[in-house]
Amino acid sequence: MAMFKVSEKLFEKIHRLTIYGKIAEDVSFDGIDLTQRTIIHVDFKHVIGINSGGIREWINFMKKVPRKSRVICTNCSVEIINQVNMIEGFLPLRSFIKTFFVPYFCESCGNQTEFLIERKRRVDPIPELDEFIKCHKCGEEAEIDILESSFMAFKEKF
Amino acid sequence: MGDMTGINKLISKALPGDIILLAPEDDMPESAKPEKCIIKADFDTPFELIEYAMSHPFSHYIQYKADTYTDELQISCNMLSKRSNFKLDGIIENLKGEQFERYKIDDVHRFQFRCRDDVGKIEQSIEQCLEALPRNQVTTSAVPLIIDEFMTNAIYSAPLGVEPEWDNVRQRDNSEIVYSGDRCGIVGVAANDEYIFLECIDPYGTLVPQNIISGICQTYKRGDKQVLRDDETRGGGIGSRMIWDKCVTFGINVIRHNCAMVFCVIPYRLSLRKIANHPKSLHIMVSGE
Repeated sequence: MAMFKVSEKLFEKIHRLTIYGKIAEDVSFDGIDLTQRTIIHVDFKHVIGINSGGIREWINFMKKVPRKSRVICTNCSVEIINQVNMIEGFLPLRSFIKTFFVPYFCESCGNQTEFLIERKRRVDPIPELDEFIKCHKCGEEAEIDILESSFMAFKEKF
Repeated sequence: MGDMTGINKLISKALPGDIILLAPEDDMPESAKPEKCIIKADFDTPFELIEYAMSHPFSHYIQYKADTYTDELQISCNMLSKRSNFKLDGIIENLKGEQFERYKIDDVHRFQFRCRDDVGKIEQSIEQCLEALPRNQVTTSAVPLIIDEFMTNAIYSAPLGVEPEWDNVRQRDNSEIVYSGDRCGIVGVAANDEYIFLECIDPYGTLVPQNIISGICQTYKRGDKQVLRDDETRGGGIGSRMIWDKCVTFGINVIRHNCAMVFCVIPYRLSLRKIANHPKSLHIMVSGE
């Protein structure tokens, strides 16, 4: 099982954080200085899960983002989006969800497919999503596995 | 919906005559006991069921229009009649071999745990148990998350008030977060063609089911970070809500000062969206007051 770690990279204007593993109650974000750049890019691609204790640790970490800074999130899973929508403070104000995954589920074979959706700017509309696609595994109909109205709630703030 | 004659036979065969099947709007007969009442519900949303359970503390709430109504009734009867077996074997083990329509359980895999470091090992073992199932959000994300939440509560919250200085256990190294003596918890997992069954038993019996129900209810009503409790030694409603959203049956059985069991049933051939809004059943039993 992937160990938790955060790898950091400083660019001229951006502080990039790539998170690996599960965000659980025993993770530590100590030693990560979020004041170094005003743009903080968080990549969730390698996050394998987040539990309720991890949510608490994450929120405490996000409280350290300076008010003038901006957090840009990429490769957000459904679980991350659900937490963004449900929990105030999961992301600080001025955050932007740049890319996120939308899942499709095929009841015929139980297979799941995910598509990565990208937004260039917060004001840009989300591309229209097909309710059904052809399952890559069995060819039957796979249905979008989100309630679009509630799942997309984040786009009003982030 | 199942045959009512068969259901009535099921109840009368398995239990004494003090078991009552009630609709939510029915008055409980004076001679009846809440812990022996099964609520035959028809709620439109999972929130309505939770809200009803908050103010009507019965033991079993089952959705009579769900395809699994008779199986849920069977679970209720099983929990009421076999309670003394649970502290040894757990609930899923006692459901094995019962005459279910869809919840048929043949094999149960059980894993012991005593410390924080056991969580990752058990998650890996469960992943291997379920590797033949389709890979989707249920099997790759929901199941690990539920097991994690179950075990996190069993390790961090259950020993509070029993193990010395457990209030600050989160400040310790993982290697120091260990049950004392020969206490151990058990995780159980089973699967059939449609469902995954998960269970966790802790050896303390301090769980207060009403706190879990209240926590879930608050996430529906407030939906913000205030739901996370200020007291960091206990879990918030967020974890319970995450479990509730991902299962169609949620059960809690507490034998006070002895052990506590939580279990859930998850359909893995339905999308998570459908599961979140699926008619749900709830089973709560507490004994040894």
